[in-house]
Amino acid sequence: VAAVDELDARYMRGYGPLTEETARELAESLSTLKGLLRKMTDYVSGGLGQDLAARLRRLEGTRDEVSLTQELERVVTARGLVEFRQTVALLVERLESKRFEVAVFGRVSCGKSPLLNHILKQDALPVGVTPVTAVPVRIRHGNPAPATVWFADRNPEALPLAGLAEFATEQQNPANWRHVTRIEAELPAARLESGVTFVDTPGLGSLATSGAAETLAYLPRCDLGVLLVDGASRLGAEAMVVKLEGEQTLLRFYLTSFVRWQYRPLHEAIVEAARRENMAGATVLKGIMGFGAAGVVLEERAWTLGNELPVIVEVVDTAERIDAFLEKVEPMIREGMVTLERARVISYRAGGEAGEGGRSS
Amino acid sequence: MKSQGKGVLLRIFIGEDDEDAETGRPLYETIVRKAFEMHLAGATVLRGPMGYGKHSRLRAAKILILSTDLPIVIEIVDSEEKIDSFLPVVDELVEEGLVTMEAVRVVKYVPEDAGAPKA
Repeated sequence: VAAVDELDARYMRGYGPLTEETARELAESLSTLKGLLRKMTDYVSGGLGQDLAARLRRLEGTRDEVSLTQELERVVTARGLVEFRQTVALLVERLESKRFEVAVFGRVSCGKSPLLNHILKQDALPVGVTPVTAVPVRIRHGNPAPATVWFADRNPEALPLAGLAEFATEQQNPANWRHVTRIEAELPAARLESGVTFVDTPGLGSLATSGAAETLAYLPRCDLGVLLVDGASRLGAEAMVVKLEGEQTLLRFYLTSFVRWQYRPLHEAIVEAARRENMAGATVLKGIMGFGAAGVVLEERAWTLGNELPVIVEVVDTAERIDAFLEKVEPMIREGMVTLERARVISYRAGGEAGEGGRSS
Repeated sequence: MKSQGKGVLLRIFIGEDDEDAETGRPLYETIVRKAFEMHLAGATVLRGPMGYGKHSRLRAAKILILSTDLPIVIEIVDSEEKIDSFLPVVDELVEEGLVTMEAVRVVKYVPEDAGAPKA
């Protein structure tokens, strides 16, 4: 608001003389701007806020979570935290629907759809050996009505459950070329009576499916996520996409290029140990100058071959795995410094197979 | 510095071409030497192969200079008091750049065998 006020003709004279006409034009656009600003302030401070508050009042007394959400809504409105409004709206929507979404996640072909079919006691979802599910499919209680398919580019369509494969599978809808955004089906299964909704998701970590992206986009919306792991295969880096994002730990070793462990550079030994322990990744950074506990300033010198320089090794993983790793490598550290800090992992994706080494942070 | 416990990581982001006005030497050298003189636990200078900062637009206009003025990050870990006592020095030396601090847990800090000087 202060910045807009400064646009007033009275304050603009510093930039040179103003004609009558320009001053009038300026005054006009200024009042338009101020009007818009007022609207925006109203919207942020009240407007939509009251609507949410009213909806919450209706829900009052249904469950404990309501009072918590009410408190959240109060804080969000009072502080003008517009960026959280959507999240609160999502929570209210969830409370109003009285549904509880349980989603099944996992690598491709680890048996997510067969598991849900088993729980539902009928073969509702298409299954197969190769990647099958292409779009998240919601199943909730109801009469055996036709399933509904929502599209990005046209109106929803109803179809018999048997025809689901046409839209939900990778074989008949490769890379989701039919632009399906959502599939919902209703089944009279006894296990769904209490209001629970099961969600079958496309598998993670397959190059053949674009479905993994759909799964990751859906991930924060479910109430409960079940990560399915195939007993026959080890947990790959792809499965860790789900695992590693969020609050993790950054471990750093401050060393020099001359510190050795069993006749070779210590930083190399640490990276190798990290690989052996299947850590999410390790990065070596070379310094050009520095000093440490040894108390000598190290510098790049053009006239010596292989002079001693600082080296930093960074490893990011979960707090428990870092602790376990630290215990293993600690005996190797006989000089240098080791620090820990919190890191928020924004994304962790591997291009190839697991174990090929990801990148940290 | 104590061998373990809470610490602060100070990071100074400058350019490789930034100079110490007094000596004409690279600014990162002066910062490291000052840290050494003030008995801070350690300092590491890292050179980034690419980057831009507050004055990137200015630098982009001089494309030949841009190629040599690479980002420099100086990292210093020590106790909060020691870092605080070093901040006025940084403030005086760094005319443009970025200075950040973050909390770290020092797991291990070992001087080389009884602190014997290196060759």
